[in-house]
Amino acid sequence: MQPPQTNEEKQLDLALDDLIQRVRELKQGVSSFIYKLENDYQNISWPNMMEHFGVLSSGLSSIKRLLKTEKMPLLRNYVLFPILLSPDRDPHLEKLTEGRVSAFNHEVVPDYLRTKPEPEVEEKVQMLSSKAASITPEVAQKQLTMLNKITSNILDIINASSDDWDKDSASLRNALPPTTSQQETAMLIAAVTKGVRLRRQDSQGQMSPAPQMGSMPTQQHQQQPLPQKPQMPGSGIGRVPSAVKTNIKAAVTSHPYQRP
Amino acid sequence: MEAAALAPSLKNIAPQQEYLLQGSILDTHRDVLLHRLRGLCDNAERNFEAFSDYEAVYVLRNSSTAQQSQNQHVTFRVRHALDHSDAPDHIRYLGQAELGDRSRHTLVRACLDVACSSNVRDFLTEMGFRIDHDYVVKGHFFHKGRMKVTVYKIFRLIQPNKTDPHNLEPLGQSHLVELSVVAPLGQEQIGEDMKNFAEQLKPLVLLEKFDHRKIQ
Amino acid sequence: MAAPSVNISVEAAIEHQIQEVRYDGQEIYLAPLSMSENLSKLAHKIDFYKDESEEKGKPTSEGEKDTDEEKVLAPFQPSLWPWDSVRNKLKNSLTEISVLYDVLNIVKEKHYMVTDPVSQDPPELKASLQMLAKKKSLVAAAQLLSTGAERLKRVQVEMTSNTQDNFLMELLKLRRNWRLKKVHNTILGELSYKSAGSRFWQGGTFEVLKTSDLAADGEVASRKSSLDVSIPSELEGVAYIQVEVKTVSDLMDLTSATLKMPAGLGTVSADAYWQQKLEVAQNVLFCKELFAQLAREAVQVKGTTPHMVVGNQILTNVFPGIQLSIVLCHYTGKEKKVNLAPHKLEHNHVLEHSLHQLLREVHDRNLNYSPPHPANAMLGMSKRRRLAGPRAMSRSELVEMVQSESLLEQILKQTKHAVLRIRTMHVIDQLAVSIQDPQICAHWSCLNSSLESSVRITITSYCYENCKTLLVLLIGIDTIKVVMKDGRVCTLLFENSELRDLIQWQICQHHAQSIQSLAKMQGWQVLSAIINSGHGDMEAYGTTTDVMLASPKGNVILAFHSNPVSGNKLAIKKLDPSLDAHISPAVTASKWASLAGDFQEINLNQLEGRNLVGKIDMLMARLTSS
Repeated sequence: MQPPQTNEEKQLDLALDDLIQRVRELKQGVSSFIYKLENDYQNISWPNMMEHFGVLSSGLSSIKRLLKTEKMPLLRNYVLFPILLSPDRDPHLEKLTEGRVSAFNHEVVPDYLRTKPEPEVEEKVQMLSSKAASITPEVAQKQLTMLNKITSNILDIINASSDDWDKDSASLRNALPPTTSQQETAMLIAAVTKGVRLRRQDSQGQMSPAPQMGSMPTQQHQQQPLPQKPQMPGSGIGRVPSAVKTNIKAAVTSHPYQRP
Repeated sequence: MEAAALAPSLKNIAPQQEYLLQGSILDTHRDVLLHRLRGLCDNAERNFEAFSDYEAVYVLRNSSTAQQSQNQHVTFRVRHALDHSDAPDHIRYLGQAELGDRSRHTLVRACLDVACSSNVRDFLTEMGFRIDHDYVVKGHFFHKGRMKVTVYKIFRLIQPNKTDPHNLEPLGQSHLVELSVVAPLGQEQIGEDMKNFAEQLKPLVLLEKFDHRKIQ
Repeated sequence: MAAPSVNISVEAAIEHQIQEVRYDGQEIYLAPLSMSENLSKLAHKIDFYKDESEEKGKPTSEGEKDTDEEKVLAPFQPSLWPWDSVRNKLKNSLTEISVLYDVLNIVKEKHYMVTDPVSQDPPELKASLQMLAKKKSLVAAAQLLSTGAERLKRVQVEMTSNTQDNFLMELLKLRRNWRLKKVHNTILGELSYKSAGSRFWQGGTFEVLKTSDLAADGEVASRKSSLDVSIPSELEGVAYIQVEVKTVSDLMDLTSATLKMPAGLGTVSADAYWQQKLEVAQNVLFCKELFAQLAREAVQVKGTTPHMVVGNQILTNVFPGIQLSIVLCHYTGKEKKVNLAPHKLEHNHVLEHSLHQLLREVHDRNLNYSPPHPANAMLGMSKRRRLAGPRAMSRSELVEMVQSESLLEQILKQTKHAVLRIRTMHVIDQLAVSIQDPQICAHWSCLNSSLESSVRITITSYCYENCKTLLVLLIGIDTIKVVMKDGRVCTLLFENSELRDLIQWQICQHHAQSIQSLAKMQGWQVLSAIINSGHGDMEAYGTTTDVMLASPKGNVILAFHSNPVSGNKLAIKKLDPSLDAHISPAVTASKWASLAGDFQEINLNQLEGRNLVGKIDMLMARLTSS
């Protein structure tokens, strides 16, 4: 609307955009919490509740952080100045405020531009400031450093133990050895359903009978050492791989053409 | 495709479906699983029920169309108990396992299971079936209601047709775990029950619907 | 719309509302609202709030502040709702934040409101104020944490200090014996037999309670255990199945089909130990299932005589005149103390036990199938059923396989056997008491089943034990099989008299046999011995046994006649030597000539001797030498 925008104004605009977005998020957080409380309170669980509170508190602190960034102009130094009051309804305005403000008139504006805090808040601030006035700045300074020290100490402790905790649970999770293997599953299922690795090369009937006949006795010959490990299938779980290996070798050497 | 070949004869029999979940357990952890299952299943006060079966898979290929598609074949599985000589042989037909959508918790496949006399092998051979592969399974069996849980090891036969222990070679280092129910089609409650049961075995074993099409 | 009806205008009165009165007295009017504006204004007054969600349904009319609206809202069931204060605070903050949001948005638009930079003094830093505020909030947070820690500590101390009373320890004990699961904040247990194979519809869910929660303020909680269980009301009390075998004159005695509640069984006291409570409740459930099963069978089974189910009683005929009544007694302690007249209990513990056993067998069968071999065979078939196909069993064989006996049939069989056994026992005992000569001795086999038992009866005469008559009775369900000394087998029905007749007849035979053996020893000659002779007078029952003996010299002939009804008779005939002359060529010896003719009856009572055999022994000894 006003083409010559100063740098300052531009920055303010950007900052406002950011702020609006954060506020919208916070507002959504609050309203979804209320919705949950009102409509689904039977199923609400303690962790669930904490989660909602967590969302709110992180929203608040992110707004706070935003206000403190360098990009954000000091909003303190701006006043809001109503330039147009109109009793007419403005659909654009209505849309902008989600139906809460349909006209920017003399009734709405004073409420909206109120600067006095809520009575409860005001009371609290009053109480604190009266208390603050009662102590001397020196004492206050001393207490402040004390508090800072204590809190930073506690923070350290908490961080340290939470690190330990994470480590513990992580190691616990890793402690459980794998009891099942996807590859083995796939292999076994393939064997049972399609006969993979079970099918006999020479049983297809396509081969000529001669090598078949020839291979039989040699195979038997090769397998003579087998009875030495009779309990292999039952007990020797650890020895299974070695058995497979020897067997492959046996099959290779039984091939008639490899014999010298 | 397989089902289509059998369809006319299947029509007269009440269609039974096998609801199936599969997983595996490493051999070293098998006993933990067995005890867990014993606690969960019905036959808790008895000892583990062991089984030892020999299964041979027979295939009949359609010779006229053999060139165009390998899939044009019928598979029958013949099984008999090695440890119970008086038990009858069983012949079994299994359809293509359907994965279904997310709402279905288990694999579902057509399943025909008939007890038969011991000369069924000769009969199949006479009909033109050829043995495709065979193996021995040894393991334990549990049941809970109509759910059947089997934990077994698969053994390859080193020499054909010999099932004595010296001739067996274990496949892999795991036991296969199967949870199955054979029931008429359309009983969705079964899937729910099976899923709940499988949940109780986590994280020891992950029983899932394993996509059989992934097998190459 | 109907034409003649009067049209009523729903428009507001045309009157300009005053919007503002200026200081100079000039009034500014608002233009009258149009129809649609009026409608929307009215619509604003409707409280959409209750139905719609917080954000969308918030009707705001012009000039109305959000906070005002909050107050209009009815509080949300404040008493039921623990979140009231939280919600109110949240509402307030929502209002504030909405205002902030709106203001920011409006400023951004720069149409109604603009920001105007002004220079201001930097705010004075109120460090002490901030510090106080921070301190205060830190204190609040620290308090929360420390109360939580305190509570945890207390629980820890409780855990370690008294393990006896500890709820968790009790819970652990409970968990060892019962199935428990946690549902939300309650612990539920299961006491039904479902996991043991029962298929009874009624559940047995109980709730685990912590007694310290219940023992409210003021009450002195001096309980034994810190854990209590609450059992569903329908399983409270004590129950058992009363089984009674009664003799009734009529076929069916309906008057006895009333609820009989024995007073002797007390209720479980309210503060009983949970284990006892649960066991009793489990028993109640079991009895209910048992009775329900029996009642269902009684209605379904088509027997020769119908079974009757009246209220909590099942009546069925065992034998004519003997009735089996099975009553479910459930004493909840809430019944009025009436009809407690000492009812003579003829409770049959054995049959009750059998009933329990039978139902448990059913449970076991439900749970334990015969394992399938090979492992992919169908589950739930019997081993025989699996073989049916390969063995090509016939239809009748299959039908036979399917048939199974109901509980009621089984218990009826057991009852029949029990009744028959007791009857047999009574008959034998009565006979043994009433008949002194000969002696009857019964040996009951200690190995018997609930459907079969056996007894061996030995009949002997005192001092002549080398001659004895043995009988073996095999008591079945409703027949008795008798194996006699000579290996003959006869089957008796359940009537008492049949057995009595048989034993009496055996006694007659025993006498005859004893006399024959006496004759052998003394050198007398047996002329004839007939077990069932048609001689003599017609008797009420039983048949007569006759023995005729000739002395060694052939000059005396004795005729013994024994009948269960008329008793034993002995007759004598001395041969006249003068008759020797008339011997016909067909008669080889003179004794044969004297078979007929006049016998003289001997008064057995006046003979000397301890018993019949002894008397005859004496007589024969005397006559031998004469």
